Amino acid sequence: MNRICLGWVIVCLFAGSVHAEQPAIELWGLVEARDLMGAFEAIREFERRTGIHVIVGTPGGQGDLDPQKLLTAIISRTPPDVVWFGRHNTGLWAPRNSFRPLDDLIQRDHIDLTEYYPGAIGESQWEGKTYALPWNVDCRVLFCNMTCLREKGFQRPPETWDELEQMAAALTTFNAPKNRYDLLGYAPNYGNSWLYLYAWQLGAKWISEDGRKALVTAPEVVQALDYMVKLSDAVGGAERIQAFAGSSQMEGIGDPFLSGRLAMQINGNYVLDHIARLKPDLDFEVALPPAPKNGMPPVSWTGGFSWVIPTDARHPDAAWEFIKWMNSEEAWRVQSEAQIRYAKSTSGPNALFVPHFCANRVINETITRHYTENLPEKFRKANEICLALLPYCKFRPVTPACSELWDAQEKAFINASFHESTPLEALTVLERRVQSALDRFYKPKLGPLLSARWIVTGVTIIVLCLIAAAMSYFLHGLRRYSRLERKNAWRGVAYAAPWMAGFLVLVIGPMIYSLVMAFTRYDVLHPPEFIGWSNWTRMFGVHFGPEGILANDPLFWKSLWNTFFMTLFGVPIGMMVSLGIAMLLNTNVRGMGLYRTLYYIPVMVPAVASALIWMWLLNPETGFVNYFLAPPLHRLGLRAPSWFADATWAKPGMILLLTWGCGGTVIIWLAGLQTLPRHLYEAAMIDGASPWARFRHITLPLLTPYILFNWIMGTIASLQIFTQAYILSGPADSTLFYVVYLFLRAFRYFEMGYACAMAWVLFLITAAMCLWQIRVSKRWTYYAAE
Amino acid sequence: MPPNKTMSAQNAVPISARKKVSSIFTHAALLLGVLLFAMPLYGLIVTALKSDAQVQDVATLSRMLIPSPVKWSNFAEVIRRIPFVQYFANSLTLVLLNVAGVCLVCPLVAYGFARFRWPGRDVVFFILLSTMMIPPQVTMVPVYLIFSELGWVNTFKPLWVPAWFGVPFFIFLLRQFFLGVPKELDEAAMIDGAGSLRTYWSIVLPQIRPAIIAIMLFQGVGSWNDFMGPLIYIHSIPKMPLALGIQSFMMNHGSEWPLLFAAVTMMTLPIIILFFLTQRFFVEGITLTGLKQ
Repeated sequence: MNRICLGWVIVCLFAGSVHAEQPAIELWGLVEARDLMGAFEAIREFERRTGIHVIVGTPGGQGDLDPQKLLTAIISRTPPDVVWFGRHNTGLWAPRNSFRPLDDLIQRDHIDLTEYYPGAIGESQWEGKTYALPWNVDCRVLFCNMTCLREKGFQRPPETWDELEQMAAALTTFNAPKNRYDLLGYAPNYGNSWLYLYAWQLGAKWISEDGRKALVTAPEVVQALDYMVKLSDAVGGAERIQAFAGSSQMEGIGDPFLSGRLAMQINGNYVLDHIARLKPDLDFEVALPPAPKNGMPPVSWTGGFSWVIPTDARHPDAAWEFIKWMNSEEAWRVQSEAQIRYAKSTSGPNALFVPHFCANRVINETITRHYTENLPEKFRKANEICLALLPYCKFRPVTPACSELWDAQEKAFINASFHESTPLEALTVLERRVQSALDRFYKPKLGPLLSARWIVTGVTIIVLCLIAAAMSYFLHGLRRYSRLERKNAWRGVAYAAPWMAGFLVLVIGPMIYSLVMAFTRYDVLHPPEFIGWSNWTRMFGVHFGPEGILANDPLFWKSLWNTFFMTLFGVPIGMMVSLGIAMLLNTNVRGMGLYRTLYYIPVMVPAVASALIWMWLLNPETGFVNYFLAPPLHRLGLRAPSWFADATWAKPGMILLLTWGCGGTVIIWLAGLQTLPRHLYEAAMIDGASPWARFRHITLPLLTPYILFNWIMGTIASLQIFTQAYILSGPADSTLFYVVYLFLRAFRYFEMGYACAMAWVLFLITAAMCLWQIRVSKRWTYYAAE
Repeated sequence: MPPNKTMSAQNAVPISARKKVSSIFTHAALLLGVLLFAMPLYGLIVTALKSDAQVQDVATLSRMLIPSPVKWSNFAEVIRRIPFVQYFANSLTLVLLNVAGVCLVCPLVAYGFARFRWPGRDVVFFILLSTMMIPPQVTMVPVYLIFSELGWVNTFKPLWVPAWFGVPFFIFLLRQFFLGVPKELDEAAMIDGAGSLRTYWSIVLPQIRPAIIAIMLFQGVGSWNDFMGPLIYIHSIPKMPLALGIQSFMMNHGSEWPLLFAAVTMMTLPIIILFFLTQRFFVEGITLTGLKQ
């Protein structure tokens, strides 16, 4: 036993001890994606030259997709030293003073910003200051698999929107029995175009010049979205496309464009390198994105990554040296050479390589020309087209509502293409969200600013008063005790003290604090602002819009409905299935212990794991379940459900997932079944009762206490589903459960006050439901002890 | 009561035959159920052993269910590609700290409720029970702010310190067990001059060893599988536990299913093995919660 303890201690020490003694900086955002391997070599070269160790980490995704991690790091004053940062989120962080402005360093070290592409610099600046140093740029172009095109008689890529639509439809063939595409001509958002591209092609602006008004419902945007929906329907509809996208691998040898299952796509120029590395003999061509009409100037847009230094970074000087190195021509050479070596190691000695576009125009032109000299003609031509397009590229507006804007253009397409609403309706709803985000930033409500410290002090005082009240009750009660009993009473309290302390500090105190916060606006980076009932009117209120009465926060009601769906359907189904299993197990079959174990195992599987397992199982195209369901359903003229790719089937899929884990309930039923007296059954059998009658009149009534217990427990659990929904997010907010929405409000949109209000609503709902359940059950529960 | 027609029909078939038929039917149903329940796990292991190309190949059932070639190398590659060992060590650390806290504190608190009389004891116990109903999200934001002020964000502390204040569910469970230990043992120890702590440690606690083991297992598995806590508090790669590390892997390499599933298998297998070895304690623990509501 002691040796085991020693062993554990050693393990713990080992686990906690890996910290370098040498100077080090922490870098976030870089992933070991196949086309970034070169960058890692450049990092290692930096380590060799300067002796500064670079710890690379990427919690929760690439630097732009999950601001939650970065925010929590900045708030807790333990941010990384440098972040490889998706530029379009600059507007989210710069106005909040989360990044250190770099102008002084740029001037001091004579860095010439005019050498950088204007699209890249534009996306890195806010109110005249530069917050990021761009690393790379990209642009979006049309890739065509010419073999597929020529087979159907097309000799060249499409040049206009009409041609694109025609060709996409003509090239698509759908295999109905297998419920999958044999060849998909084009999907409006497969790849990397987004509604942004189509809207910019029509001249949309997205945000007004002064940055305060959202122009999401401008006619250009609506028209662009209309077109995307038309395209999506022309090739078979959003559901099928989603199933296709869900089961395809975006990179690697399984990429459908490389394997000839996708004829055309608009994607970033970096795809050229994928083709070069993985399938250089692919017969492809690159063209400008098809314009709405003939003769319009070329339009594309650029994004890319930059280096930023968070405020409060602990090693800003080392971080700046690192940034300067990574943006130097030498580093780009090191990187390109390493990338070539990597390509050769995975695809053979004749592997080809197309470099990234460096954000610095001077460096880029040198690097690109050098490394594309010896490429086959089609790659060189394609690269030249991309290079020439760079000056025409738009960039995403830098605005504090940038993440709402991104969500808006993404969700609008999903809603409209699934025909949940018309394009205009979808955009109107989403414009409101962008506008309110802008309003929250530019026109803050005039509420008194509170000090978080004072609130904490106030809560502490309240808690102390509660303690005082409890103590006086206790002392008063002690009066009736004898001296010996009093000693015992104090002892008892001493034993229970740890829990009581924890209860005050971790439960009651925070609950009161949370209640106070529910009346404020608090994004942690600024002091909380008292706004009275605003959070509550936002949650429960309605307002009048052009389409009639609308809820102020439709997502709140959606999340409530999603959660209640699980409570209404998931809980009873789970209870019935587990009862069935328990009844089977209760028949004294041989090996009952083994069966019971096997049914319980899914309960042990981590939630993360079970989410991923069921994601695979219920995959519409390659999933196990649909493999069996699709052919018989097809013969009946129906289609197999698309599960997590379909808004109507995502929640039933979730119910399947949760029912899989009903083993705990089985055991409780078993315990209950085993308390049932046998003599009642024997008497019933003598009287000739059928099994069903025995069940209805003996088993069920005697089980009612267990039914109540499982019902209450199941309900509470259904109101708190989080992990699986967070990982599996279904389309059109169909798996946006209440707790997930709460989490997003708190840690993605930085609205702690609103999140606290939501938490209290959840608490009241839970309490109300439990009380209602207990009350209702009095009529039908039968306790054998009574 | 006069016998009806169905009864005489039943009497025509001998009871032993009827029992055999229903037993076969039961076995068949149970087997079918086990197949359905085990199938996802089989899918997990099988996909972890497939190559990238085979994951999408659903031409025939055998292509779906049998990996060929069997890529055992996937496991090694996952360990190479992501800091799997570090994640594993972190998860172990958290499990150890949580289990230690729970085992030391919860029995103490439960003892205080079970063996002593004091004013307000039952009210406080009722409050303890009702905290099980409070959704953790109600306190999530303020608790996060508290830990942030203390500078504990991005450390392990918020993930194990709360366990050292007791977990209501375990306290409840242990109290029930304590109530079942006869008071004569306590009194005998007291007569022999043992103080309450000594009585607790040497006499009463060993009586409920199965319950202690049960809560160790529950807490251990819970800490191993915990996702939301690390999601909120940990954001450095070297400090991530397995659940978070795997989700991070999924977000960065979402298309590499075989590797992802290999990682998931390695996360799930220890739990399943542990469960097979100690299932009796799990079942006892759950059974008791159902009986004593």
